[in-house]
Amino acid sequence: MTTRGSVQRIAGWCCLLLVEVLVRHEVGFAGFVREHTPVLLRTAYLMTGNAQAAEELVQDTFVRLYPKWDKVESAEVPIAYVRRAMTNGYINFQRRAARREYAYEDVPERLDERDAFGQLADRDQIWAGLRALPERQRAALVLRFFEDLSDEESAAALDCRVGTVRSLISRGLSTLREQMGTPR
Amino acid sequence: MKHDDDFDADPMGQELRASLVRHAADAPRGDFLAERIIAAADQAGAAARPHRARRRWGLPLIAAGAVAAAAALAFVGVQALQPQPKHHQQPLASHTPTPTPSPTTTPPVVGPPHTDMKRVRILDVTFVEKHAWALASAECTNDPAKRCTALLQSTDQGRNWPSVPTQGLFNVPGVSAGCSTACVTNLRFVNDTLGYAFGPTALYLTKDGGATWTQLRGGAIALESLDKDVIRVSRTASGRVRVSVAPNGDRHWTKVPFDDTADSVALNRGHGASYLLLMRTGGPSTLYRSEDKGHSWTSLGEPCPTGRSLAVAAGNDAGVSVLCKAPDDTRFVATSTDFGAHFTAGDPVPTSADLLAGDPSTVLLAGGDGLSRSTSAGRGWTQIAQVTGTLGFVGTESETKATAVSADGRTIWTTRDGGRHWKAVSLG
Repeated sequence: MTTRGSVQRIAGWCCLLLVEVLVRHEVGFAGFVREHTPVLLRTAYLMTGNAQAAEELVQDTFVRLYPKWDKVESAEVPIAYVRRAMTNGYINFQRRAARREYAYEDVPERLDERDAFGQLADRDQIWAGLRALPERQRAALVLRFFEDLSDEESAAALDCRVGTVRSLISRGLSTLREQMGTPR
Repeated sequence: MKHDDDFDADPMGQELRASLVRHAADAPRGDFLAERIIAAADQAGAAARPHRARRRWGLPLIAAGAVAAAAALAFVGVQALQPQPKHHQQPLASHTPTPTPSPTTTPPVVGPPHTDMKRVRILDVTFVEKHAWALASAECTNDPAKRCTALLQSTDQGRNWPSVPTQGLFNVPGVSAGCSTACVTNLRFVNDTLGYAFGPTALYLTKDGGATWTQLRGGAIALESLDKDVIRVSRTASGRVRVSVAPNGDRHWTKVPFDDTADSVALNRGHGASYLLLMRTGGPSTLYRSEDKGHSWTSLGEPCPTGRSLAVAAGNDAGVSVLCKAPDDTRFVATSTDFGAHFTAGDPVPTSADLLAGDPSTVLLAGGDGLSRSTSAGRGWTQIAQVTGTLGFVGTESETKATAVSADGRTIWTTRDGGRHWKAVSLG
């Protein structure tokens, strides 16, 4: 075999190896997004009650995390890391949105046609009641009763103490019970 | 997840849980969103972190380009200055350390058509005595350019597979309509009339042989019926595994105490015990055993003597087998005759093997190199010449009956003599 042939082969290997390393990083993020977007979207939808807002929340979360994706991948439970970021994003967004309501007097836009709360309020009082809860209580209830997270996991997602999570859940259930007129 | 407080017992909590599950089905599916996010992240990443991007990506890219250029120049140089005889010219790709892809197509089976559907791609099959059903996608009857969900039923032990209307209630992956309605991936029938179609987010029940279906709450990643009851395994978004049980055909499920996580699971039931294998990417698997029809589970830890387990096959009585992947990537089957308390490793098997079925006395092993059979607890293997190509499914219905399906979903093989002889039916 000629020296040129060997150089050619080695160059080829190196090239393919480097390309593979580059592609693998991209595939890691893309694969994660494709796998987890549907489930995150369901959680986001239950928190926001709105299809468009849910999509924005999930997209903003991933785009925000992308520059530090290595940190996400090295987390003990990457999906928990992303869920925490999404929950924080949801709460912060709601707070910003609440402030904006006082700042403008514009006529509010027409409700999203897929506004689930609006569509379903008549036939599901619990669902409507969830909408009226403060965002942290709503998030705590969704994480507990839909995601089935433990108190510790919910606390991590909400960035608070376990006792606070239990208080949020308790108060949320109590409020729903009052709205439904159901005695404990 | 089993919580140690009374929130779950709170009727309001239970109603809220049911309401959330109902409304979660109204959430957008997110297929297009995922692609949009990937594209947006690329743009945002490039704009938001130019320095870091250059530090992490620039040099390798430049290096890759330089090496590619060098390779191209070397190649041009060799071609221009020193043309080689044809038998010395070897394409660069043939020297690269990339794995050779396994063949995914199977040899065509000559014969008359066995179904009224065209271009069938089977996802799952289930046999009950003389009846069998196949969940598949196929060419739409009203538009050959599109693919539709297909349910096929055989009443002659798998020789012919006429289609059964599905009412359009559910879809399967790969159809033109996507999975906009609830998507199912698997099918299990209990008897000639009672069966389940299920996927991670959807579960349907039929009591008339597949003519009509009723949607049940939630989904399943594994579901197996035996005798009079069914075990269902589902997974939360966070990877937590849930197990529930129900009498065959009952709409109400009882959640049993179970607390573990997994990336994927395998559920297999024998008359001696039921086994649930929890597999995790890059980590050890955990095998659970239930001797009371799924109501309680005992962890047996990682059953493989070395490495981790990839598949489990429950035998009758006290037998159970697992397919193991050793740290050096070699694979072998380990068998137990004491309900999984102790496992003994067998001989090495092809590294492409990833499917396992049968009793330890007759084990079937399938994967990228067709089908192999062992009648000596995995210590000696016979390649089945009639079953070739890459397989996507192998399962046993009894000590003598078994089924295999090609990975491309076009061919079904059946045996009625414990795996010695196999008959193929092509539906592709």
